[in-house]
This record gives sequence, C-alpha cells and structure tokens, in this order.
Amino acid sequence: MLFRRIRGMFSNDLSIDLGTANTLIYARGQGIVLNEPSVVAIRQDRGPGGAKSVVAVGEDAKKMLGRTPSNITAIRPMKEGVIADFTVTEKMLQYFIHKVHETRIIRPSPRVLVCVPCGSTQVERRAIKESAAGAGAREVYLIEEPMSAAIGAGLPVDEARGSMVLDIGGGTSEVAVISLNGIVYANSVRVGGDRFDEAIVSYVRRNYGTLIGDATSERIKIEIGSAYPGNDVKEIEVKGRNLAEGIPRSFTLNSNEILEALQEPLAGIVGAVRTALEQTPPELGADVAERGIVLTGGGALLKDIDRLLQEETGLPVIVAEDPLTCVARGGGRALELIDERGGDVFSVE
Amino acid sequence: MSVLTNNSESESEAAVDPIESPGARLRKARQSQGLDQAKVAAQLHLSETMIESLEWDDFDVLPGAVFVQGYLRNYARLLQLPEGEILAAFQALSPAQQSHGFPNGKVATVGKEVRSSHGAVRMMTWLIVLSLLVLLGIWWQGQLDLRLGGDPIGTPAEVAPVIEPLPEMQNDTGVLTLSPPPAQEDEAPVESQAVVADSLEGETPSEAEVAEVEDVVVADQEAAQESMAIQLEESEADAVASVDEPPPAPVETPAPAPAAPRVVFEFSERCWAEVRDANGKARIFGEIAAGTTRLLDKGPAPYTVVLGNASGVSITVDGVAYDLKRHARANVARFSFDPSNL
Repeated sequence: MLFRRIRGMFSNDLSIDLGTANTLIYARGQGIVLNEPSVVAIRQDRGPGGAKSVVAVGEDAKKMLGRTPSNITAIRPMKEGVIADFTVTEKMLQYFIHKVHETRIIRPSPRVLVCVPCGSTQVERRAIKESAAGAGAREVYLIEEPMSAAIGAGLPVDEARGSMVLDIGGGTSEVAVISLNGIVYANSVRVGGDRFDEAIVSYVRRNYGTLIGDATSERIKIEIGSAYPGNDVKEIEVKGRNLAEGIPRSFTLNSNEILEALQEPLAGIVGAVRTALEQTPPELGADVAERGIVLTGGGALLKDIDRLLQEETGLPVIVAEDPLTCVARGGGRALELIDERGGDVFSVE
Repeated sequence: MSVLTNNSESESEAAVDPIESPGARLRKARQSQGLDQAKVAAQLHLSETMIESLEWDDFDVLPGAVFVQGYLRNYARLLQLPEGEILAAFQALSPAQQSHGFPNGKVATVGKEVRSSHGAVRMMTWLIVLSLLVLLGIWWQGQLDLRLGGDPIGTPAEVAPVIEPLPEMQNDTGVLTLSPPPAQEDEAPVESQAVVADSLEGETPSEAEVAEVEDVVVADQEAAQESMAIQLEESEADAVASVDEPPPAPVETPAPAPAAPRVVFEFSERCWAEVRDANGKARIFGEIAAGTTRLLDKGPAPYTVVLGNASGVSITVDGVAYDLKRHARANVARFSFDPSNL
C-alpha cells in the first residue's frame, strides 16, 4: 500500500475511455496520450493447456484481426461497452498504462478514472474496476460515459439547465440529459460503430453476394458512409470473396448504397433520442429544444449524422469539437474537479 | 431582402468590422445565395433571433461557446463555406468565449500547475524518501542492538554484581594453579601472581606479600581437610591476618558461597527457569512444573537467572523474599544476583 502510494507520486492521473473499439487515455496536464484500438493478439502455445502470451496490443494487434494463423487469436476484449474477457482486458490496460509511463523507472501506479456505459450493471462495473486495479491503478474511479462526454464537449453541466448529449461509441450509444452535475435521464442502446460495420457487411453480402471483412467495412464506412442523403455521391472500390465463385472479386460501392445499408442501426439511434426527449422533464426538454443536442463519440464523425438527427427531431444538433476524444478529456477534467471540490461532485463511484 | 437593407447592412459592417468576422462572412454568403434569415433559421432549427445574433457576432445572447461553434459550423455547411475558416475566425474574435466552460483540457492546463512529475517536486520526493529510509535504518539498527545486548543496556544496576565478583574468581583459580606446586614455585608465576594481586589491590606488595600468599595457600590446603565452618573461620582469620585483599577470594573454591545463604525457588506456576552459576554451569534449567521447590545450593555465587513466568516464582534468600518484580519485564525476569551480597 505504502509502496503503491510512493509509486503513485511518480505517476500521472489518468482518465481512460475504455471503449469497445478504441481505448483513449488522457493524462492530466498532458492531454490525450494514447489512442489505440482495443484489440489484443494472443498466442496459444501448442498442446492442450499450453501457455498463453500476449503478442501485440493496440494498433499492431488490430492489423492482425482476421489475418492470424491458428495459434494466434486477435480478440477485442470489450463487447458492447463492457468487458467480455476479463484477463485480456486487464493485460491490455496494463500495457496501455505502462506505455503511457514508458520512460519511468518505477512501475506506475496512477489514479485512474474509467468511463463506463450508463447501462452497465454492477457486475460489469465491478469487473472494470477490478481490471483497472489489477493493471496497477492505485485508485479507480468510475464515471458514466455521457457525463464524461458532456464535460469533455464543454457543456455547462453544473448549471441548472438541461443539456442533452448523445455519445455514439463503438459498441453502445448513450443519450443523456444532464443538469446540475447529475444525470437526469440516461439511456444506452447497443448500437454503435460496430453495428454500422456489420450492417455494411450484411448489405454487401445480400446485394453483391460477396463477403467482406470487418476492417474493409470499417474503411467503407469512414470513407463514403453517410447518414443523410447528400448532393454528392462518392464511390469506393473494394475487394471481397464472391460467395458463388469463391474467388476474390473487386467491385464498386457508392455512398447512397451505404446510406441504405446503415438505415437500420441509424433508426435505433434516432429511436433512442426520441425516447429520451419523451422522457425528459418538460423544463429540461425546453432547454434542450432551445440549445440543441450535442453529439460526441466516434459515431459523430459519420457524415451528416447531425443532419439526420436534426431532421428527425426538429432540434438543433451540433457535433462537439474533436468528438472522438470527448469522453477521455471529460474524464480528465472530472478528475481535476474531484481534486478541487471533492469526490462527490459527480456521480463518481 | 431589398437592395436598401442590403446596402445598409454592408455599410454598417464595413464600419464596424474592417477584418471579416465570422458573422459578416456568413451574412454575406447568405445574401449572395439569396436566402433570408427565416429560411436559414428553419433549416438549422434555430430561432431567427439566434441567426441574427450569429450574423452580428453578438455571442453574449447565445448559449455557450460550444453551442456557438456548433451553430457556426452548421451554418457554414449550409452555405457551403469552409467550416474551418469560420471557426478560426470565431476563435480569433473571442478567445475569451473559447475558454468559457470546459474546453480542451489539454490547452487549458498544460504546464501551468506544478505536477508531481515536475523536476523539483521529484527531487524533493526522492530526498524525503531517502532520508526516511536512512532514519528507518538507524532505528532498525538501534532495535537490533537492544535485542542482542538487551540486558546490560537495560539494567545497568545489575551489571555491577556480575562484574564485581569476577576478580575473586580469577583470584581463586590463580590460587589453585599456584597451590599444587607450592615448593617448586619460581619467580615467574610468583611475579604474575603478584601482578594479579597488584591489580586487585592497587598497592605495591613485594616478596613479603608473595610469601604471605603462599602461606594462605598452605593454610587453605589444611583447611580443606577440615569442616566447612572451621574452614571459613580459619580462612577468614588467615585473610585478616595476612593481607587486606578480599578474604573470600583465597578461600576454598565453591564451598563458602552456597553455604552462606539458603536460596529457595518456589514455583507456584509452571515456569521456564534457567539459573547458571558464575562458571556458566546450569543449576536449574528447563520448564519447572507448578508447586516445585528448588534449592539453589551449588555453584559459585553470582547467578544468572532467567525466569519465563516471573509472577509464578518466588525466591527466598534465607527465608527473606527476594523482590523479583523489579527485574520482570513483560513477566520475564532476567537478572543476576549474588545471595551473599544482597
């Protein structure tokens, strides 16, 4: 305990956005210090019960996804915002925390604030807490993602005014109404970037009879994906395995097709926002109607998603600055506020 | 919009803003595209007053910097203007607005506060840690010393009786080695004996004294054949007669010490006991059962006593109770005593 504390003097306070797709770490006073995919590649030694060892973590491991030999598996230890594989998550966090403190001689033991989806259960939260503690954290705080996202986006969360934030992550989308440093309403739907990718894969299989991988579908989404019909039509050439011939073929997709493919998951998000607006107390609803909904998370980078929501809800919708890092930055800011005003400022656990 | 209002707007803009503000750029673009504020407001889902405030850079009436930036971005996109330029212009115009709320923490906090990673802080921490370690080491060393040589340091009063009788013993043995060849005695041993006597008495005896010592030895040998009481008397008499040197010294080896006081250990409770005589020979050793009584009648006088359960033991010297409590520490008594010197 004492040693942890001494080691803590040589560690930075960290805010970790432990996302399904990407893990971001914000170090106090330094900004975003790490942004890597939440992927771990594990080698299983031959024979039953052979030792497992971590081959790569983050960017390197992501390159291996879908390209591994039989003794290596590249896995994403987080599913839908919560831990799917406890041990691997712990290893991953350990690696990331160490990477952030690379130059230090002493093993780091930072205070860590981890963002959790508001829909996660106590068991899932405890798993995250334990795994962060196992990765070497001295103290672990948990904060709900929408709160962190709102702080990171720069919303006036401490005012007696309703602010609605929609955080579209890799596994989940969270919508919340925040006032006076607390969450008035929050809902989490298990629709996110991953569901967009899956939708594209199944669309391509259905309409082109061709199988594409997750990485390809993610590239398609980033390059030509859009949520609202636009004036310009973009095209992209992709390669996939033709199911009928069994041979890799190249074909061209355009943005309208992708728009069509994304309709279903997008409808899920729009539905969540509508429900949130219905459930919000009228005074706060009025505040939201006046100022608008703020989008954060990687999903907010999908082209014209703000326009879609704007048209669907009839409310102004704005995308936060640097939406991908909002949650991590907000967590960092929350850590500072905890230091300034004590632990009970937010609903931090 | 009429031409007139257009003109008036552009004039006032030129007067107010020589450098193009974000609002002015948006307004110009909107006018050039033939849109009016109401239509823009409907498309952006904002009120007309908000659009007007945006166009006139009147940001105070608008919610916060975050929202203003969002509105400007949406507006710029609607008019197909470069978003980045409009936002840059906004930031240049109102840096204060920008820092309102909690914007990018990375901009706001970098390098301002002294963090734990700061060089000076780290140096101080190391110094404190090192000094703490040194103090800990010193304390530990002290603890270790105390444990190893606990008794002498702990009870200096007890040291005296241990050390005091030693000369007597030396003297004893000295006498004994001398005694077997009383006739063959040559100069060297005599001298050495004299030296011993010297050091003991602090006087300067000469040949005469050596002779006296020899006398004593002879007397001793005689005495050994007689009863103990007589021996005592004789030897005492000899001692008084011969030299000032401590009389019991030249006296018979272990005989007088046990004879004098009767030391009885009574064990009322089960207790670990270790009693060693001056020669280090164990007289009572081991765990003694409750209700046992032991008489300590052997071995030369200063006894080293260790009692594991001091409260369960009572010592009487010639029927007089000996106070154990002053030696007992956490119910363990370690002391040495000489019954005759009590």
